[in-house]
Amino acid sequence: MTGKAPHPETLTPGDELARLYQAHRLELVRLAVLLLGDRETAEDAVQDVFARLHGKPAHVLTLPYIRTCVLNASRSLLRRRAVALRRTEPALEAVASAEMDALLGESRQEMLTALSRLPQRQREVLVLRYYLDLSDAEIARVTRIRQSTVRSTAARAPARLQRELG
Amino acid sequence: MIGMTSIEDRLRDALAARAETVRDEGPPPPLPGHPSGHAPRAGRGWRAPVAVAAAIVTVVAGVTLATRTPAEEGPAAHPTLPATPANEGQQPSGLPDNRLRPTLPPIPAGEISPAVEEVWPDAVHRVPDRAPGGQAFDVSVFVDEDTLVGRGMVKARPRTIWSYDLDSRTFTEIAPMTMPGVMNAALAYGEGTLAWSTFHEGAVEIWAVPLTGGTPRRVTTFEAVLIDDTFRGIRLDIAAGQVVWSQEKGGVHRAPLTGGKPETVPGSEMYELLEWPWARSTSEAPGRLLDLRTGEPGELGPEGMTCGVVWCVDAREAVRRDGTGRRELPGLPSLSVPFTMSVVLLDQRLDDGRATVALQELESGRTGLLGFAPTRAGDRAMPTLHVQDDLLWFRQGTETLIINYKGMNR
Repeated sequence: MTGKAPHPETLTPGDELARLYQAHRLELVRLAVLLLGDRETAEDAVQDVFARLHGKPAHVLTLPYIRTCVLNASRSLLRRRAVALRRTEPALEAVASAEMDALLGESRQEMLTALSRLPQRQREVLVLRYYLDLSDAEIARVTRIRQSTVRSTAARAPARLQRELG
Repeated sequence: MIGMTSIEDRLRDALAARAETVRDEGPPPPLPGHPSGHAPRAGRGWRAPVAVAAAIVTVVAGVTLATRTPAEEGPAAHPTLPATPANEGQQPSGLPDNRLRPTLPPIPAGEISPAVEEVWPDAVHRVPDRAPGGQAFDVSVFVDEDTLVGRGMVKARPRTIWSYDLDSRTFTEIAPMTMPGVMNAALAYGEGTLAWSTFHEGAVEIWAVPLTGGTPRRVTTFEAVLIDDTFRGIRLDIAAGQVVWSQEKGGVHRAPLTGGKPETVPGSEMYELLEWPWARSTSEAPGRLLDLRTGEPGELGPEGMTCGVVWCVDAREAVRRDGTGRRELPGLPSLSVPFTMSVVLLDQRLDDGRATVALQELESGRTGLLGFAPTRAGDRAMPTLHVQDDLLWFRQGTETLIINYKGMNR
């Protein structure tokens, strides 16, 4: 081994946050896109989460914790959006744009539209299970719901999705 | 994929495709509010936070998709041989690093390490993931070379303490584990006794049961140290006829294994238990050693590194506390390291774009491949790695794969 420079200072919580941000921002934005439906809001949600994590001690700065924060931010945004939609255009669908149709193809777009019609909890469990490949225990930890609830939700949601697809 | 229906396959495909529409456009925009906005540059020190008493750390999020089949096993002879004590800790830390710092040079794909089973055939074991009755079997500690002890979990709560004999491939029930507030940490083992802690109504209790079985008994009780209104558990060991433990703010305490009041080990006020007889100072990095038997201080270790009893690690290198054995690490060490620092998990980036998670045993410097980390949407995630003080385990189908650190140098 070659000689090395002296070992500098300790990694601070701020450094660790920056490290997590650089390593996982893309994954978290993608997760938020799947939960929220559009990229711009997803980017804002993730940015907002990291801004709020400043000053938190290092031991809470873990990926599962940050995923939970992104999930909570998405829930909060969807609640606000639901209120806004009730006031304006009640029938508006969340996703669906011509550009997205072209990118994804009709079949995938149908699937995503069906997914967007599911209750929030079912949608979250399906995204965490089939996009992030999390285990039931990990989904329970991220969503803060019981593992048995995760299991039953994961068992029921695909059938509901099938019905939505017609 | 076992048990997958077409609706699930279609969903997986649609989610991956939608996620992929958010393209990887290189380094992200600056992190709001952070002075650099980026991860620390290469060459800066790295150190696991001392406050994180990480014995069980969840490293790579993921799931094994195969359907589990409970493995029913018959009874076996009770294990008898003692081994060195286990430790415990509670702080999970998820750090799947499938996107490494760009400054870390990629490893040629042709030079990846052989699989852990090839590198350490005597250290890698496969056991059923289910104990009798369908309980999920969470591995705690080897009590001898061929006998494991772990906890049978029902709905993520401990229910039974089991031993498992690797030779006869059979489970033996040691004791029920039904007291309230059992902490999520590996059982400690020493002197023929298993011990664990509970947290209930503001108090910590240490419980013990002989390895040969019986009814668990309460050894001692004391007030929990809360940090941010949260109890983070204790590190626990059994040695010299005592249970020995420390809480997060330091101070090593002990009580007779036969039961009694806790007392503080003299001179240990600013120390935390590492592995008997060693404690590590919490007041100075990287933590001076203290011999709890004699009160003699030991090596301080190189500045800016995270040290166990012998080895220290930072973002690039491993070196002994005494400065010998310095070598570069073939990957970025995960923040999730066993408290005892006998092994280190490494995130590696390959020159063909793939990423791996490897394990290095620090004394020998040998490295084994644990698996490939997902680098693209749709890649299968790695299973959760449970990095404990004496062993590492993860689920694989209906089995649990265990790497016993003590077997790595046999």
